[in-house]
Amino acid sequence: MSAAGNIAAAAGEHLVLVLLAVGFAALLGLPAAVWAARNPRPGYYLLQAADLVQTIPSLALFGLLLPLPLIGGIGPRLAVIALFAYALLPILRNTVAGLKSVPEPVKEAAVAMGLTPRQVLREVELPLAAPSIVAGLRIATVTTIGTATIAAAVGAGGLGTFLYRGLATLEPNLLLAGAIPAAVMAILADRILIWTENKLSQY
Amino acid sequence: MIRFSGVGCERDGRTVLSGVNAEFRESEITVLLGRSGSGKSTLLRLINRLLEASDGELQVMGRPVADWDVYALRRSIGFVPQNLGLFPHRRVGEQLHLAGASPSSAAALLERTGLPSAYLQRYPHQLSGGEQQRVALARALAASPKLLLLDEPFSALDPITRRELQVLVRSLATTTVFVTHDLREAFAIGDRIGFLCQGKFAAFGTRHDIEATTHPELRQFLETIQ
Repeated sequence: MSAAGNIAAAAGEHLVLVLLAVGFAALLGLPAAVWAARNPRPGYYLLQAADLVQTIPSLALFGLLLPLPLIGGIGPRLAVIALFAYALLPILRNTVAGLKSVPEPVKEAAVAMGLTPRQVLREVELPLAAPSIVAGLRIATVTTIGTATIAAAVGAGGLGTFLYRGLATLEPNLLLAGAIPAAVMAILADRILIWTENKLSQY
Repeated sequence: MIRFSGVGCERDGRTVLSGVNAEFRESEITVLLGRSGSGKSTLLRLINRLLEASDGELQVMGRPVADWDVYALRRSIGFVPQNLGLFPHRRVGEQLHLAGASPSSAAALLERTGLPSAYLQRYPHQLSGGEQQRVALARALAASPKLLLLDEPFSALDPITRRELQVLVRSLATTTVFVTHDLREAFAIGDRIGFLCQGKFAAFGTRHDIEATTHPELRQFLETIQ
């Protein structure tokens, strides 16, 4: 395969890792954040737990998960699980913050007009929290694109493969082949999600 | 229309209302007057069950509030909170629709509160303070409620706009409970005035009854407008 083909294939793997990890984190994180916003006391502990995961150095987390049954073992599955754990915090934190920022009289007016809690969530709370929620997704996506380079250490592929080979052989071209596409991917994701945030806060 | 019998309410372990007895009559405007913390906003919120009484019995439209389906109760009562609670992300027309107005009645609702129907397309931030008040009233009227609850809706307005809106509320000809800490406003708008002090009515009656009071705090209120 050509060099360009190799880079494209690695970028594809990288993107799949990121999308799976952030996708699962959003799928679990959004409902969990709604729950945490409605139940602030247990919700506080959930956020603390997510905070704690964030403090584990990423290389160490990959290493620690490696020997575990079911989630451990060399390959992309372990990488997606570790990246998912990192992506949870920004999604949780921003969604909770967004929901809490909805002004009390606005919520009260919605309840007083006879809307059910589900309707209040759908018609009022989520739309008003949307820019903050998307900001959380953006932070999660951009950091995951960076952290996913470490996934190559556990054999998950992606752009990190070039970085590890480049480091081992002291070959700058290999380092650039990993770093530049990862940076471009992060910048693109950032721009697209900032644009979405702005769209959602225009009214 | 609304009858309180020995109603009490506790919030966060503190007694806000205790032993409240009163009757608010149909097609009248009852004003709840009192200083901050006297319990008037709490009392108002018991009527549409935004808060629940911890004691006594409260009847609304002939039934104990606890027996009402809470959503049906709220849909038959229009509510305007102090900061209006307009939805910043929804056009006026969408807000009226969410509150239960049919598409054909939306323009008529705006007309009733003195706004042109072109305002259906506007967002709240595109309206002046007085216009936002009118939209909040129109939204409270959207489901053709039998009762309106207004919690100090006009406290942030200039005196001229405020007077216009007081006239508007009187013209709506709907049974209304109106919370204020402004005695002038209470006299301007109320058929009957209940003066709340430390979680119970210290006086209740017409302007004439209020002016004849011997209650020291209410006398202080009266002195402020002399």
